Amino acid sequence: MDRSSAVRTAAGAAARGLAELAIETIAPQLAKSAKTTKAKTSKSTKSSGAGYAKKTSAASSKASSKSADPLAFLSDPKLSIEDKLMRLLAHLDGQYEEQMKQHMDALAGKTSSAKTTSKSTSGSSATTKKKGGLFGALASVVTKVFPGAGPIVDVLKDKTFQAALKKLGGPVLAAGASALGFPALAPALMKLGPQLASGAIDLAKAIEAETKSSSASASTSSSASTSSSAASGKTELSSSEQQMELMKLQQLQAKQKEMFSMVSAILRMRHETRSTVIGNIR
Amino acid sequence: MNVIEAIEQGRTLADIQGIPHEIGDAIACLAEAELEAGRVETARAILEGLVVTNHEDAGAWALLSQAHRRLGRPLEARFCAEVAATLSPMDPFVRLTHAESLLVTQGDGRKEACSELRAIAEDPDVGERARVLLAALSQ
Repeated sequence: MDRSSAVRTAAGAAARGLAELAIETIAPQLAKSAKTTKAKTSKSTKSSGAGYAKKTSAASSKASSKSADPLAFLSDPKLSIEDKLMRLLAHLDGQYEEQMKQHMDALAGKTSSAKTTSKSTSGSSATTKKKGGLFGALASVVTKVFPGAGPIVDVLKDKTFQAALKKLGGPVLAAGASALGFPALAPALMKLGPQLASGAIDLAKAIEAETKSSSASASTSSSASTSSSAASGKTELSSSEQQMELMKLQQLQAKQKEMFSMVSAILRMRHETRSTVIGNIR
Repeated sequence: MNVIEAIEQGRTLADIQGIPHEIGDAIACLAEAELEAGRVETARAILEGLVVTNHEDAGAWALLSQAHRRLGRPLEARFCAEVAATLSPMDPFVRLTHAESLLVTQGDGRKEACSELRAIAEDPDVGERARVLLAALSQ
C-alpha cells in the first residue's frame, strides 16, 4: 500500500507539475513554440512513440481480457455480493500465495519464475536487459561513467558524486532504472532515491557484482542467451537481492493482510446494517 | 492490474494514463523552448516530469542531459545521456548530447566523444554543431 501510494503520489506530482508549468509558460511560449517546432524536429528529438499510449490498445486489451477472465464471476447476476466477495478473496489469496511461493523459491536459490516473467514482458525497447540487484541499474551506468575507476568505493565516497545522486532525485533515478531494463526497482528507487547518497556502499557492492558478472558474461556470452534462466536458478542471490526478495515478500504479506481486513470489514458492516434494520423493525 | 504492477512489468505512466506521443512531443517542445530561452530550471522540471511519465523517451532524456549540463551538473548530465544512449544509440541528437556529456565529465571520454562527433558530422540536423565541436577539439 505504501509503495503504490508513493508511486501514485509521485505520478500525481509529476503530472501536476507538468500541468502547472505548462499553464504558466504556455501563453508566452505559444508563439515561440511554433518556431521551435522546427528546431525540435531538426534536432530529431521527436519521440519514436515508445512508451506512450497507443490509440487501439484499450480496445484490444478489452477484447483479449474477455476471452479468459478469471474474474468473470463478478458480473454473474446469480451470485450475491457475499459470494462474489468470497470468490474474489479466494482468487486474490491464490495469486498472492503463488507470488509468495515464487519469492521464497528465489530466496532459497531456486529458479525465480517471478523474475523471468517480469523480464519477458518488460517492453520492446532496444535496451540490453541484465539481471541486477537493488542498485544494479545504477551500477551499470556508473561503470560506464567511471570506466577506469579501479577502487569504485572511493568514487562513491566522493562528495561530488553523492551530491549528484541527491540532486537527481528518486523519481528520475526510478525512471532511469526502468529505462535501463530494471522496472521492478523503480518503486524502491523512488523511495530510496534521497537516501542513495548514504547507501553508496551498497551501490559499490552492486558495481563490483556488475563488473564481475560482465567479465564472466564476456567469456560465456555465446550461450548465455539460451541458458540464462537455468543458470540463474543455481546462482546464489547477493545480499541486496535477498533484501529485495524479503521486501517483496513482506509487501505481499501486507497486501494479503489488508485484503482480509477489508473483506471482513465489509462483511461486518453489512451484518451490522442488517441487524440494525431488524432491530428497528422489532 | 494496478499502477505499481504495471510499472514493475515495464509499462510507462504515459501508457497507463493514456497519454499519446503527440502530447509527449509537445511537452518536450515546450521544454526545449524554455531551455533556449535560458530558463533552464523550468526546463529541467518539465523534463524530469516527462522522463518520469515516460522513461522510454530517449529525446527527453537527452534534453534533460542538456539541462543538467547547462546547470553545471556534469555527472547528472552524463547519467541522463547514458540512459538516452542506451535507449536510442543511433539517434544523431542523442549521440551529440552523449558526446557533449562525455566532454564535460572528467576522465578519458574525449576519444569516445570525438568518434561520436565524427560519426554524426555529416548529419543534416546536428552535423554543424558536431563539426564545430570537432574543430574546437582539434585546436
